[in-house]
Amino acid sequence: MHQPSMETPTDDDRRQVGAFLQSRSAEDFLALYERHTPALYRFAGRLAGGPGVEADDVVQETWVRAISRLHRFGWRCRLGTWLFAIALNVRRELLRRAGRDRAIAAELDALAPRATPEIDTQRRLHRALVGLADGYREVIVLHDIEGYTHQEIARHFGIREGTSKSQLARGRRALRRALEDGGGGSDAG
Amino acid sequence: MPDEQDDLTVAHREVLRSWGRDWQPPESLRERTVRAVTDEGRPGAIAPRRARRFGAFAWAAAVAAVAFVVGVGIGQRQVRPVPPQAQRYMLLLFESDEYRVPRDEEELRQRESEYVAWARRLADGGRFVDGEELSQAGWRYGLDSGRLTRLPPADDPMVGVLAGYFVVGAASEDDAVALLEDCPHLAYGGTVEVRMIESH
Repeated sequence: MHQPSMETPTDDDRRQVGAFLQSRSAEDFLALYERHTPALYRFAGRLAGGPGVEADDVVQETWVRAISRLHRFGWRCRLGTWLFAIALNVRRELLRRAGRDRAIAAELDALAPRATPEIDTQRRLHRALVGLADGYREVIVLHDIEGYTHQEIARHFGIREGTSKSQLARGRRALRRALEDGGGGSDAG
Repeated sequence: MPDEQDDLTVAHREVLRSWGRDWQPPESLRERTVRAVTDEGRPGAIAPRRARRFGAFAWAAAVAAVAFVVGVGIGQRQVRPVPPQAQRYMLLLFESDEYRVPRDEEELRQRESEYVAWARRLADGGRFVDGEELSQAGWRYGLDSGRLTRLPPADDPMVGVLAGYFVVGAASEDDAVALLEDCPHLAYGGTVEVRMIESH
């Protein structure tokens, strides 16, 4: 869709991972970190509804887990996809621990309506994204923003293909409704 | 098929894809992540190299210990009563994200000794025990229009990867399952699938 297959590992990744597993040095870790954290941070931020403490925590914990499991990574997908899958699970665990309702409420609170008479499409859409239920937003981020197919979402992120398709349709419907309503109301899922 | 009315316009999709495009991780995140993945603040002291060999060592050690015990038992002792083992069962060991990998050398040794002790207890009790670690870089293959073709992996992310197996002798499935009550693999967050080996 937007990128080459998410399942084709790159030579650079293989080389950097090999170097890190050989040396276990901070320098080699930082090479991996610098290469993958920008995209990982954007992904974590999109899942969280914006950059901030939650995205920071997700990224840090993702690397902690990834480093402990890197020797077992079987290269069935790109390293970035594997990191995204870990990040998705990390965030789900954080939400479970923190309380789902509190997380959604915090996201909505962060986007109190502005006093301006007109809100442009971009801000309305972004606000609507934040107000989406987590399940819808996860699939919208994975499919429409990151470019994974439903088959890849099922394979790497633990969301069945049928569920992915229906969540995507419902998420898009909720966004469209929010745009037509002129606000960013939430949609339970 | 999604309802066309629910779909988003091209302009909306472009806006969607632009969401968060300019977000940058803070510099402080870099430092705290390095600290988090480093043991005791020493760069490079992340999980020791031998941790990646944990699985192989543990399985090999467990199997070697079993072979030693069984061999000694047959060679030097009186024949001990062997529990009825009408069937062989394969214990498939899976490791998902829930599995707690040993964090350092000390925990690695402790983990190894627990797997070995478990296998040894089975052998001491006269059970048939065998096992191997499996490489996790494998693929599935099938025929596609008559051509041998590599297929997507079968593992479910929620179940995890197949990390190894044991084969044990047992009287029944319940007997085989009962062996798992003190299996260290479960204690560390792994799961075990029990399958009878069909005899023909």
